[in-house]
Amino acid sequence: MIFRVKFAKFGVLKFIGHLDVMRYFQKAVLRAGWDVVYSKGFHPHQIMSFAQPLSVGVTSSSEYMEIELNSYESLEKLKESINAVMTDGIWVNEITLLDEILPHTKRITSMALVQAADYMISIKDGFDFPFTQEEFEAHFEEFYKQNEILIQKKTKKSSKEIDCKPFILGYSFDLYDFYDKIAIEPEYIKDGTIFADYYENDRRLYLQLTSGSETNIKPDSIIESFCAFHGINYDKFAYQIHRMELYSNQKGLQPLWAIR
Amino acid sequence: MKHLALSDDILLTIEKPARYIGNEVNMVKKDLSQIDIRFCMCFPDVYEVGMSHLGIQILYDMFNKREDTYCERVYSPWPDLDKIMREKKIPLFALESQDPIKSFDFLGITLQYEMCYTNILQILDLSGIPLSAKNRTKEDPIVIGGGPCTYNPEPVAEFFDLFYIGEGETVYDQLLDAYKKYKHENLSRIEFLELAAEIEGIYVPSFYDVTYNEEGILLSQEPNNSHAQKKIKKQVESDISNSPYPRKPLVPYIQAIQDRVVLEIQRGCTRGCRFCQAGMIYRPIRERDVNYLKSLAKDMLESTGYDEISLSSLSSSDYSCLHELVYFLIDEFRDKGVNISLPSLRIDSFALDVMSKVQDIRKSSLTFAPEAGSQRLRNVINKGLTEDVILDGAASAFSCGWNKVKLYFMMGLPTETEEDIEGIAQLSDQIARRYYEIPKDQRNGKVAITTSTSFFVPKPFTPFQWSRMSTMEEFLAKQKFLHSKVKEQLNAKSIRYNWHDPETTIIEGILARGDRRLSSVILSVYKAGSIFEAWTENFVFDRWIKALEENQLSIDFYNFRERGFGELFPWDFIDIGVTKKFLYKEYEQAKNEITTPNCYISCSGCGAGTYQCGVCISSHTKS
Repeated sequence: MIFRVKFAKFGVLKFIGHLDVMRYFQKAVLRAGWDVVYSKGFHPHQIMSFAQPLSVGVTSSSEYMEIELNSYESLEKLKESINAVMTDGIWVNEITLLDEILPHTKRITSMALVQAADYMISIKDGFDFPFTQEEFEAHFEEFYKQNEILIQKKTKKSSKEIDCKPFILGYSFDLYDFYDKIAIEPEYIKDGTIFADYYENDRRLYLQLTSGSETNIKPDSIIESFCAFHGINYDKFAYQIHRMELYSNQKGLQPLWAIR
Repeated sequence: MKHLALSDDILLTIEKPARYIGNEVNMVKKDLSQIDIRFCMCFPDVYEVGMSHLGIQILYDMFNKREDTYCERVYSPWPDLDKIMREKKIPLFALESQDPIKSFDFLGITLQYEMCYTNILQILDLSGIPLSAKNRTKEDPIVIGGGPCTYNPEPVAEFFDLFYIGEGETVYDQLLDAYKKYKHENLSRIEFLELAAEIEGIYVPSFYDVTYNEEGILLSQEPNNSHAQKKIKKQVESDISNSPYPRKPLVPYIQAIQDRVVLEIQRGCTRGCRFCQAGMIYRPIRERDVNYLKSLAKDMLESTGYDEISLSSLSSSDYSCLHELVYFLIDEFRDKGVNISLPSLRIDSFALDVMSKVQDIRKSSLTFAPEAGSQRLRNVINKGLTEDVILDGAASAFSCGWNKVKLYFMMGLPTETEEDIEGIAQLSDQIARRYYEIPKDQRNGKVAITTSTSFFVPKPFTPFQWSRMSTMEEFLAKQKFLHSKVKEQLNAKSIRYNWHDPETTIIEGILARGDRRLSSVILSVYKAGSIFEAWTENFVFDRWIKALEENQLSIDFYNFRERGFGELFPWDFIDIGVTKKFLYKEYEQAKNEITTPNCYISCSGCGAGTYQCGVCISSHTKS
C-alpha cells in the first residue's frame, strides 16, 4: 500500500537541500517505526519518491513524498508517530492512502502529477525595497499587462529567454482574493501560509505558476523580471519564497493530497 | 523562526549552510536559566569530519546527563565562512544556542591529529578568546584540550588553560564541580586552575617551567605551583560496560564522513605493534559486555534511523564475542535493510562468511595492512601478520568472488632496507598471482590491487619514540624506488600504487615529538594565513620552514636525530601505565628482530597492569 505524505519545511530547515531531505525521511520513517517495504536485491532500499524539489532557501507548507508500507494501524497513528520524531522545521500535515491500481498499470507518481504551484513571496525586513504595498500592487499590475513577460530560463548548460506570461496562472496581493481568483474548488483550499515566516513590513505577493517536470517557472525569475521592468536593483536575498501548495490539473485543479 | 547567528544572505552564499544551523536529530535542548555550566565541545575541523567523531558524541551525552550543565558543539568554519566572519566581525558561535563561544564557561577542543593545530587558533581567534592562555581573564572560557594528541600537548601548551589526559569518562565530574566552586566562591582564574591541577589526569601547562640544554634537548620540567603534580596520570575508564554511551546519537542532515551508527566494541589493543601509539596509550584492552552492545545497537538504530552500523575497535577480530554479536546484528537487522560494516577485521573463514552476508562482493574490497613489505621488517615492527596469512586470506576471498584488494604499508620504518621496500611490490604481485591461479572460468574479471604507502612518523609513547625519522630526500627516494619496483612486477598492470605527501609527514613528525618552543611556530604559520592544513590543498610547507627558521628551530633537531636512551622527552611527565623502560626494551627487541606476543598469549609486563582492569585482570586467553 502506498501513502502520500504532505509535509511542511520551514524555519532553519530551509537551508537543507532536497537530497538531504530525502535522506532525512529515509531515517525518519525508521525512527517512527513505520513498516516500510524494501526493494528486493542485495542493497534493499525503501520504496520512496518525492515530488517537485524545493530550492535551498525556500520554505513550504506542501512538500510531497510517496512511500510504500506493508501495514499500518491508522492514518492518524502514522502521522502521530512520524511527527514525534521530527526536528524543528519539518512537520507532516496530511497522509493519504492511495487507491489500489489495476494490475499491469502504472501509477502516476507525485512528481509526474505536479502541474502548478502556489507561492507566497514576502519582502524580508531590512532590505531596500523601494515600493509601498500599494505601489507594489500597482507596479505589478503594470508589469503583468505586458504582452510578453520575458524571463531568463536557466538550464544546466545554457540560459534562454522565454515568455512566461502563459505560465502565470494567477496572482494577488491578498490571500482570500488569491484563492478566489485561482480556479480551485473551495473544499481543496487549505491555508498554505501557516508555516511561512512573517515580516513586519507586511509586503507580499501570491502567485500561481506552472510547475512540474515539463515546464517549471520559478517565482524568483518573475521577481527578477519585475525588477528589471521597473529598473530597480534585484537583490535575491530580499525575498522569502514560500510554496503553499502543489496541484495536478488532470480533473480540474486539485491539490496532490486530494488525489488518490 | 529560531534565531540563527548567521543571516540568510550569508547562509545562502556559503557552501553547505547545514554545517552551521544545528537543530539535528537528537540535538539536546536545555533551558539556559536552569544551567550553571555551559560547555562547548569543539572538533577543530569541518562539520562533516567533526560530526563523525565518536568521542565527542560520548562526552556530549555524558555532560548533558548532568542537569546543571549544557554541552553544545562547534566545528571549524570552512574557509568561505571564515573569510566572511572576519570581514563582518561575526563571533564564532555554538550550534545549539547559536550563542557566542566567548560567553561559555568551557571550550573543550579535541586534538585528533597534528595538522589541525592551526585550526585551534582559528577557533580561538574567531571566538575573540586570547590565543595565549596567559592573556585570558575571567571573561574568557576555560580552554581545555583532550584526545590522542594530548599525549604530547607541549607544542600547543601555550594555547590551553588545561589538558585532560586520557579517557573522558573518569574525572570530568570533579572538574565541573571544581568549576562551580570557582564561580560560587568567586575565586580567581588561577585559583580555579589550582583546584583543577589537583584532579588526577588534569595538566595545567602554565604551572610548569621547562629548561633546555645548549643542544635544545629538554633538561627539566618542574612544577612552579604547589598544586601541580609532578606526574600526570592517564585516565582509564576501567568498566566500559557500565560507562556512558549515547543511545541517541546526533544525526546530521548532511552526509558526514561516518554516516552510520558507531558501536565501540572494545577499547585498546593487545597486539603491541611498535609504531602504533593507539596500541600503547589505550592499554589495557577492555571489552564491552556483548549484551550491553546488543542493547546499544538496537537503541541507536531505532533512535537515529540509520541503515548502517559500524563496529569500532582497533582490532575487531580480537573481541571475544564477535561471532555472537555479528550474527545477532545480521539476524536482527539485516532484513530491515541495515548494513553492517566491520573495519579492522582479520580475513578468515568467519570474516568471509560475514562479509558475504553483509557486503556486495562486486563492490567491496579486501583490506590488509601488512605495514611492511618483508617478514623481517614485520618482525621489527611486531606486526603479527605473515605472508602466508595474507596470501591464504586473499586466496580464499578470491575463491568467494572478491577481486579487489587494498594494501597499506609504511615506508621509512626503523632498520628499513631496499629489500624491505621491494618486498612491498613483490607482495602485491604475489597476491595478484594467487588470483590468476584460479581457473579462468571461475574468476570474476581482473584483479585490482591498490597498494598505498604512507611515511612513518615516530610517535610519543611507542617503542620507536627514540627513532630517527627519514628526511624528505630519503622519503622521495624510497617512494621512487618502490614505484620502479612495482613497474617491474609480472602483474604490474593490476597494481595501482598510491603514496602520501612527504611534506605533511615532515611537519607531523615535528609536531608529534615537539616541545613548547613550537607554540610560536604554530602561531606564525597561523598568522601567515594557514588553516585546514589536514586538507592537502590548504597545506603550505614553506610557511612552516620559514616559521621554524624565524624561531631558530630546525627540522633536523626534531626529526632526523636518533634520541639517546637517557633523553628526557617533553611528554615524559605523563604516566600512561606502560613504562619507558618497557618501551625501550621493545625498541631493543625491534632492532634484534624479535617479536613480542600479544597480551592474550602472555603478559610482557608493560606496566598497564597498574590500572587493574581489562586483559590485565581477566583470565581469558586466546590463541
